[in-house]
Amino acid sequence: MNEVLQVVVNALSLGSLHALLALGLVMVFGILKLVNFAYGELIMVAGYTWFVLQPSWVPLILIMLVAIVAVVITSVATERIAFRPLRSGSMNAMLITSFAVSTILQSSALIFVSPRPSVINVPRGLTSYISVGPAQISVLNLVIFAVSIVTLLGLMLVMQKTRLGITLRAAADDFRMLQLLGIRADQVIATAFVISGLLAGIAGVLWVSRIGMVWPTIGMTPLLIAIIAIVVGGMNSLKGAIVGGFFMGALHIIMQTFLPQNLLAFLDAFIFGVVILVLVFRPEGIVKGRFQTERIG
Amino acid sequence: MTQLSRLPLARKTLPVIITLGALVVIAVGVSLFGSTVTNRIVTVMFVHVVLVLGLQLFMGNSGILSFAHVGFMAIGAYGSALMSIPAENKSRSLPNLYEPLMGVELGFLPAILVGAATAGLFAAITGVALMRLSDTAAAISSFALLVIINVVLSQWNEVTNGPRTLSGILKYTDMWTAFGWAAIGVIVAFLFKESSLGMKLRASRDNLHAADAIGINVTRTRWISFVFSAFIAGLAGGLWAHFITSFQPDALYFEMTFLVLMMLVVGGPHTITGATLGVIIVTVVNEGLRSIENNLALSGALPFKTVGMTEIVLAVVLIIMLALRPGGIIHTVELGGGVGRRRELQTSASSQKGTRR
Amino acid sequence: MSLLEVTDLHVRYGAIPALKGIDLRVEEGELVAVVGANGAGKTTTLAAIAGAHRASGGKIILDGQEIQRRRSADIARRGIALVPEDRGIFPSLTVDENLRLGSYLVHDATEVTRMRSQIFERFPILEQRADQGAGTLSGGEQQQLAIARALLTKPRLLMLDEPSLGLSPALVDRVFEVIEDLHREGVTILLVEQNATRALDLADRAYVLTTGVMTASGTTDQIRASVDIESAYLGGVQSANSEEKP
Repeated sequence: MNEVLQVVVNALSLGSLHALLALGLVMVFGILKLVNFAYGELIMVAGYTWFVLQPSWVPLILIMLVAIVAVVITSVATERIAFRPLRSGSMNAMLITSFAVSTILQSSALIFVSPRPSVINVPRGLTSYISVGPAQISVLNLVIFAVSIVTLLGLMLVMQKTRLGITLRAAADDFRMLQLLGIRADQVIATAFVISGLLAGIAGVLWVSRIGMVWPTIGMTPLLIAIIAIVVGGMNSLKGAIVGGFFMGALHIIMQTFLPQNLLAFLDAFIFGVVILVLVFRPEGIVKGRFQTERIG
Repeated sequence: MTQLSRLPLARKTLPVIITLGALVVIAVGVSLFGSTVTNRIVTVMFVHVVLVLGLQLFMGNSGILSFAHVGFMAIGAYGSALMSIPAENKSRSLPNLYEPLMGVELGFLPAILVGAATAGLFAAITGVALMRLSDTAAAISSFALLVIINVVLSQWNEVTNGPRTLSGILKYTDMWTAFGWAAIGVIVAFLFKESSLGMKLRASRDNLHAADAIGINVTRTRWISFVFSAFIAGLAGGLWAHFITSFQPDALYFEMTFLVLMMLVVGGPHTITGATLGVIIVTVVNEGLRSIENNLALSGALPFKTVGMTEIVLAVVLIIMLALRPGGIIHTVELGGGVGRRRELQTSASSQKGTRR
Repeated sequence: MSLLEVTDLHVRYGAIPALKGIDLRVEEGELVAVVGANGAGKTTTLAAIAGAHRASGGKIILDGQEIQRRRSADIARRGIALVPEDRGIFPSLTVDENLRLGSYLVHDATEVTRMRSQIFERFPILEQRADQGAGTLSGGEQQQLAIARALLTKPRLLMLDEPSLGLSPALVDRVFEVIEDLHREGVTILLVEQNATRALDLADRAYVLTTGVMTASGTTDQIRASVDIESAYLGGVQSANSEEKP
């Protein structure tokens, strides 16, 4: 019984974090049809900003905010410098460019910081546990869940109710038509990268506090999670990304809990295996989009 | 009339001759004047030609980006090594290997063929799912596939020695072996491109719906090509393994994927002459930068470590290259395929019209 | 000065020329029709004017200013609204959200309210369906939504691409009725239609486009008198026939 509660809390916590990651990725994908491989490095930027600022007098909450801002700036800068000149090119060219951007950011961390993991001091309060009956619930997991859910709800509100959100959703539907209504492409895309960066920043800070370390390739796992989550979720909708994120989180925790010890090392392979199985039976993902994901000039 | 009928043939054979000629010149030049170092670099370059042409065969003709091919290469490398490592070496480098595999001791050719077949088989199984997806979903699922392969290879201690180095492989590949396979790769790639399968695949790339409408089974066509191209990538892995002789799973992962994609994209994924040229250029630039990086590190002229500088420069060059010439150096017409070019231009233009509207 | 003046417009798709130097003029308050066969380049003409497809040569002048190099968003802001052939509604947005995207160019809130009530008067169905997903509308309703949304941008020139396409005869009548009303109220309209007879009934002036070239232009009466509409409809058939007959 106590195990059930623990598993549920952990699954919800990880699931909501994965949902944030997936949303940030799908935000750009929906509009540019670009899977931004440099997305994982945004997590890295959050981690290193925290690492660099932690010896200073700056209070932790401010450090976290600065880290999020740094991620937003990186996200927008990569769009401006690397992606914008290529927008009229092929999708493959953009994918490979994002791969190149990812390499640049990773190698920069390698050169200017260290190839080895740098330790992040996560406050004691977060790493403790509270007992609910016999169950041990991690405070950090509760915080992650709370922050993620608030962010998710906030984003949903923005997307549903504001002019900005309506414009972004319209851009995912038919970007060409949106421009014919007088809305500038550059602005919409930049906005998408801001929101993507914001989500990656928040997710990044949470991710780093879970791990307590940062290293140049830390972004690999969150990137993969986000990619798989949006594929499983159905590529084209925000709802799909959320469903996919929670699915991946739950799958991870369930496998981690019930997989025999000697197979635990293959955890990732199992997870991706399940994902490919899902795709065999539902190539369009769990949440079926009404429209094909073809790129429009 | 005779002239007219001869033209298309020239258009098809001249690029093959140019490509093979360039490879011969490099091989002969290096064997006459090259040092051990250049010999080594060129051997690896020829292996990359095999790999990149294998990738081109699928990616160039189908237009679907694949990140998985270095994974297939890894399967080929490990598969062939398992077949060829002599029993006495095996008991040392892979002490926990399953009993039936312990005694296997094949020669070079059968070993790399088994490795390639394993890669092809893996592609055949996963391809059933992958080839049904839309372009983008297929591309990013292939990325997941690369990760799966790496996770399995680096965790399967009994068979691969886990994340640690696998050693004890005999050195069978030398520069001329690698050259021979590269030459075969060039010919196969050209034959495939002009085959009916290659034609169907290119039709699906240029206009998916039209290809579908004229009765091409796109999923099936893509699947066959995917498996074939994975087989070639696996072959490249076998060649590579028997040249390097000791390696770990991470040697065939993101860094290599980046390098290989770069070769294909810089040269031009739609053309074989382009892909080959890409391998040559990227090899030269990469090795040049690497030696600068090493010299800088030795001299201590810079206040920071220089490992990773090569990657940064390569990536920047790639981005600029893609912005200025998104189709690669040789993008639609094969080098030397310009004979009777007008016709080709027009067909490619009409296909463009089909996709753009 | 004409509101819109197109001179020697060339557009190509890759190596294939789609428009080979066409001239076209629209005066304030006019309803001008462009008729021609399928593939004659009618849609391309509108796309080029709206900036959705780059012209390879020639000039497009709106109010004395060249716009052929501008992006589509800028052209829309200068007052050209295109209702594309596929209607271009955003299917995953509600009807109301689609309409709001149209009125984002108008900054005066009271003006937006006034225009919306005007729109709902003209298209009552849109008010009933305001909170419904636009993708669930019928073809006729989608066409109304697309026209309504374009009107909310307060266009100086409304371009309609095949508004009757794929609609039942009753709905076609309704659409042409709307166009006639708009024209009477002073909206400047450039109408592209395959249904040449209906388009000529409404228009002040018309152009006949045949495989990328304007083969005739003038008042609708002149066009009707000079051109065999049936053959203009069928494209190159006319010239092929005249070659055969001495």
